[in-house]
Amino acid sequence: MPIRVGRRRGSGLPLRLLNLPALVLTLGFSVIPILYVAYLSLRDLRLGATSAGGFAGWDNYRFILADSSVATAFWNTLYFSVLSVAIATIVGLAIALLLDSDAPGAGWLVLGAVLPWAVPEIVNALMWQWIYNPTYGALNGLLVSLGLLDAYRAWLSTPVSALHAVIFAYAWKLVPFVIIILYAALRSIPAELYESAQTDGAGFWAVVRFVTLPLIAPAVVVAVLFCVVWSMRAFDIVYLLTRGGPGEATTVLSYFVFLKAFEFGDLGAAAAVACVLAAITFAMTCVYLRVLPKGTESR
Amino acid sequence: MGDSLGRTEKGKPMRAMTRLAVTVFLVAVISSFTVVSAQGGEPTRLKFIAWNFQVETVKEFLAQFEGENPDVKVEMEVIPSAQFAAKVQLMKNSNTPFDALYVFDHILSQWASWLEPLDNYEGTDALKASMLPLARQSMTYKGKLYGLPYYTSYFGMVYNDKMMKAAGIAAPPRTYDEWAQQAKTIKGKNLSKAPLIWPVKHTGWGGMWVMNTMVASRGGKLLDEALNTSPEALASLKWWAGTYRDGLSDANGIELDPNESARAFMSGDYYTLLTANFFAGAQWANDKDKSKVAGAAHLAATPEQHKTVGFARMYGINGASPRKEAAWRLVKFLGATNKRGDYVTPKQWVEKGALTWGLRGIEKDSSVAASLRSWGADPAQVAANLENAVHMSEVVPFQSVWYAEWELYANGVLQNVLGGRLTPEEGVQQWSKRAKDLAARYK
Repeated sequence: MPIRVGRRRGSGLPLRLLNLPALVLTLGFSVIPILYVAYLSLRDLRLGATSAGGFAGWDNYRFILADSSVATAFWNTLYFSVLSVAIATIVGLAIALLLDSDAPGAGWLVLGAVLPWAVPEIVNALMWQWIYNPTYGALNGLLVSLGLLDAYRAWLSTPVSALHAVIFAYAWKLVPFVIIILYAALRSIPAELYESAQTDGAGFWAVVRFVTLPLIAPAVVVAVLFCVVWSMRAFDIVYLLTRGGPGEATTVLSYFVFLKAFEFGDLGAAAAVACVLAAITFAMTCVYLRVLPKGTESR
Repeated sequence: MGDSLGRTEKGKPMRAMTRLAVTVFLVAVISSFTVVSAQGGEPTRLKFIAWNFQVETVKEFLAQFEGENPDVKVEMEVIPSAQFAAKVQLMKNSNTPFDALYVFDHILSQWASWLEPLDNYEGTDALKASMLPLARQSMTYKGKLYGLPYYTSYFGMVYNDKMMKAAGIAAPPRTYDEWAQQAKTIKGKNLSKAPLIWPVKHTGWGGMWVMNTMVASRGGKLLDEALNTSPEALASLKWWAGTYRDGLSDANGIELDPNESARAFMSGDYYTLLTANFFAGAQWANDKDKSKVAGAAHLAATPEQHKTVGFARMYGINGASPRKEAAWRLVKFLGATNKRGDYVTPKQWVEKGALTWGLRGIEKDSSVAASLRSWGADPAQVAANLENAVHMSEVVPFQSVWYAEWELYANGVLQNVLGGRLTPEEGVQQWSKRAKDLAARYK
């Protein structure tokens, strides 16, 4: 006799009580801090001040909107996010397709491809610091030995090369996530579909274009949106590799918030920038929820 | 005049004297009991907050202090220097008790509200009189003294004597034109690809410290009272940008911080480095084990008027400490003299950390002079340079709440000028505009 699993009358309250710990944690670690930051953004508050700052209204928002450094950080963040996610998605998709082709050694390739995911952010940043070093860096060594460069370069010393160096280092860390998501999606495609396509005379690119990509599109969307949200908040790589420099060339919004709050002590303005960043991230999440294939959320 | 018993007035002074003698005797007995109980009882326990530079040396100093002050015990808490300011501020905000601490001069304006002014403590006036202008300016905020010097440092020119002599140059440059000319000579003789290296990273003691040094050496201020840049600032920036344009400065060094630029100089590939004076010390450029220029790295004065900028680190007292008297004894021991009037720690810091002093006369000590000579420095010249050094606040609004934010921005502009992406004229305009914007924001 099958066991009936259903909601019984009167059992709602105890079941809801089971959600209480999660609710308390969410309130304590997410909702209340967010509200508190929003509150701080409306105050004139300096780190180290002996008294609480006065109500500033929208002054902090007016200040940051007029501040050229915020504008620079915003555009840097946008560029950083778009390029790093694009690189991660294209490279990740290519590697996932390679893995799915069951080529010899693909199993080992999975291990190698996923390895960067296991590397802590700080280790990743330090590793790239050594790779880009102008005196003994591996990148310089490689390019000079291949004859592509005549002398060692300081990759983090000019605005353009520094920004792209940071983007590449960050994308390297994102790639394994894209691989994992897309590889799982590829493995779930029924083999019969490929067989049918091949029976109909479809070549490799036609199969990719008309079978593979449409079927993994939801997974691509999920991977891209996660990566975009993460890259909008990237901090460690910038802090450790360039400290936002040279000049403001690699200053992204999250690093700017850190500077404003803990280096310059302007908590009000820092909170205002953080709120703007949170709003952008929230908007991205809404997009994610909108474009997510129906039914996925409830699983 | 007599009393009712016919006793004369003569007896009163006698009785008064007796009472006084008894009182003095009793006070002496009670005091001695108090001292004995204090010595025999629990000692005063001080909490001292320090950052992580040569912790073992500091522990030795604290042991020496405790030996001299058996009624005081010091517990030291060490915080990494990068997190020091934020952590101390958090401790203060959360009312965590502590008594004495290291203080950065750049944070003094923010901490003055809770640090103890030291002006009224015994012996402060004499110490103030012997303080170098650099030390006094660094530790004073709005007319009050908040510390005694841990060390002072000035920006000076470290030069490679071996390379200089190989190029046939007799002495380090005395003017900026001469400096550029010497660099051209060295480059022309293939002794160095780019003879000049600088700490130009946009954070820490970055490019603006060098810039302020150059402006001070010309006798000017970088920003005047109205926050306009001076002619000396533009002249310095034009000269500096010119050295990059002419290939005399190493363009790859534009992201080097002071430590990295010092290491680059230690490779022997460069002629000069303008940096904090301790980088010429036995722990850096004159480190026989690590530096290729050890013995040849000499310290010279800045060109033109030989003025320079500097900074101080200090020992301060938490205004909320209930043990201020003991804390003052500790701060005086560490920052000035022991009970015998000897400069115990300032002398040892010269030898152990190449850290220069804040109180005049220390260079006359034979062990200090020997330490200075061991890293190629003339004690009299170091003393003269320290005397000529001014605090950063004499050149830029260093104690303004917005200074740190301005300096970071200014460093970025500086890198753009040195990298040829902005003209010097545009650079100084941007410095001035930013200063005015921030001053308006934080007025």
